[in-house]
Amino acid sequence: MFGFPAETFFWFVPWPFIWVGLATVLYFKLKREDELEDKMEEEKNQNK
Amino acid sequence: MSIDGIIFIIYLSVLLSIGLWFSRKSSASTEQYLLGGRSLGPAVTAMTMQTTAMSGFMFMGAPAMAFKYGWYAVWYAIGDAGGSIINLSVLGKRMRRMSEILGALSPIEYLEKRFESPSVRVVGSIISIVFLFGYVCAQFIAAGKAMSTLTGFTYELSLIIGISVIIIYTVAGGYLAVAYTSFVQGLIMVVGVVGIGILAYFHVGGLTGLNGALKAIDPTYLSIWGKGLAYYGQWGMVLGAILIYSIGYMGLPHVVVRHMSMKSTKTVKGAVMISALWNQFFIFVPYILGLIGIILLPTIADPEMIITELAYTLFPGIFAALLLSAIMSAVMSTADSILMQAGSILSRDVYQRFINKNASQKTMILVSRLCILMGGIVGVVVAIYEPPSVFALVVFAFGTLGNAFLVPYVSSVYYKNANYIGCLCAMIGGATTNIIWTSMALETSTGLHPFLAGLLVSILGMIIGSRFGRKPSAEVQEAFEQSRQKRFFSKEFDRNIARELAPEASNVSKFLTNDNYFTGVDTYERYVSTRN
Repeated sequence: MFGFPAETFFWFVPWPFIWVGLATVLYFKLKREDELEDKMEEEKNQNK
Repeated sequence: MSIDGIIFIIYLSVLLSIGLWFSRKSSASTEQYLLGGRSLGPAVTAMTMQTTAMSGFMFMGAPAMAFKYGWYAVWYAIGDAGGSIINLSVLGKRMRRMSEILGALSPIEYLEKRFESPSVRVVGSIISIVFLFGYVCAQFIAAGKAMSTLTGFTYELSLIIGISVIIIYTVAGGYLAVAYTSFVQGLIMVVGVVGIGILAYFHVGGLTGLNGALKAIDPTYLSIWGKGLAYYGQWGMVLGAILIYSIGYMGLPHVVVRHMSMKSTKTVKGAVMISALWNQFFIFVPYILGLIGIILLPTIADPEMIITELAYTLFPGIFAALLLSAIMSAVMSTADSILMQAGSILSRDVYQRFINKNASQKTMILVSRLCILMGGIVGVVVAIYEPPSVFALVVFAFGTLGNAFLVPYVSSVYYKNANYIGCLCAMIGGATTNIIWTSMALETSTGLHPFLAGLLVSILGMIIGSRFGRKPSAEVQEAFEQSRQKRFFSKEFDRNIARELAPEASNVSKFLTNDNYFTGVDTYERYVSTRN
């Protein structure tokens, strides 16, 4: 494990992956929200 | 002057030219100049936000911290690597909507309008000015040290040259130029730091080789508790170290203003992704270089110079010059934003709001420019006569700003009943706690990081304080509800918000147009009147 003590390895190494994973989840969540907003706006414009 | 010194000077000239070129390009008309913010997509938004946030601290303070504490210092990097994700996802859309509804043009004005009290603006302005200047002073010291190493000039002369470049760049550059040069600077920072990181990494035999060598010197360097197990079992210190750079950004006025000047709420998602990737490439490397410094430069007199010393020890010549250019990039991209923000706060939130309500644009611009100049002079004096370490000053100023403003900004969009008394208690309580904790070194006796202590007091201040005094008005409560909803503006309106919410652009534009810096431009007044 790259010469780390086990405690240091498990506390430090996963974090970059956790952050990128979280950013990916947020990206798709925000994308879905944006698409939903566009759809709502289109429907609103059609109803006018 | 050596060849690398000349390369460095050329780099500075090129950077200034880019700034001026973008200013000229975007100033074909005032409207185009002000609308520049509208064209900022997620990549530039992410880069400008991150390069503003990542200061000279990353090249000097971070390696020094790792040199001192060992792998424990990486707790700070872990929080930092996720800071932009948290910042953008928590505040991003809501704050942008709320600031538009309230018609706020600066982060401090935003607080006054949300919490409905001029006292909030007074206290907020004082805290932000004092600590923003402390923060920018750290950047000046970093610039002086970097230039001194590179050019061989004395520290004092380097400081004056470095600060002069920053001030000229700040006044002449403008918001669009700042944003686009931040993009270039961000790339140089990554290439510079990752380049030296890779070379140094293989020089010491990779992580295994690095850890093996550290273990041979002192096994506690590898511990999560710091060298000599200095913080053993002190989770309050660890949590504070993570939180200061993960959530602390939400309390920095010069970073928060980026939310207000985004192209649209749609920019958030791309900016989250890009900044997250950029962070993972950039943030950990300076800390690892600090650890490499323990092995390769064990007797270094000033640990803040580890990266520059490594550059000259391992890679003299052009590469070292490029790396030092990256340091200046980090310093400049932060310093120009802070100076611009501090100038805006002093001129708009203090001078125009309380001293001269009918100040003409010309007067406002003069005040703003004088404030920036004054900040520069104070910075030079402090940096020459009382130069504290970049690391200590940044952590202190960053922590105090974060403790003062984080809770008010988050509460403004998540806590409906938050009122002005809560806001004042949170700002004063949070900032004071951080100052007392740091100056009396209470972290050693309590095991609690100053940022965590300040945060807890600030949260309590907001909750308890909001139970007293008048409740938020019906208008503010309505604005709060609207900011929680999904987009309620039309697409067209949403896209146009940026021009209203880029105070830096507005400020510089007024200066440029009033001084007829660019010929053939419309005046700001004409622009406003045509819009109305």
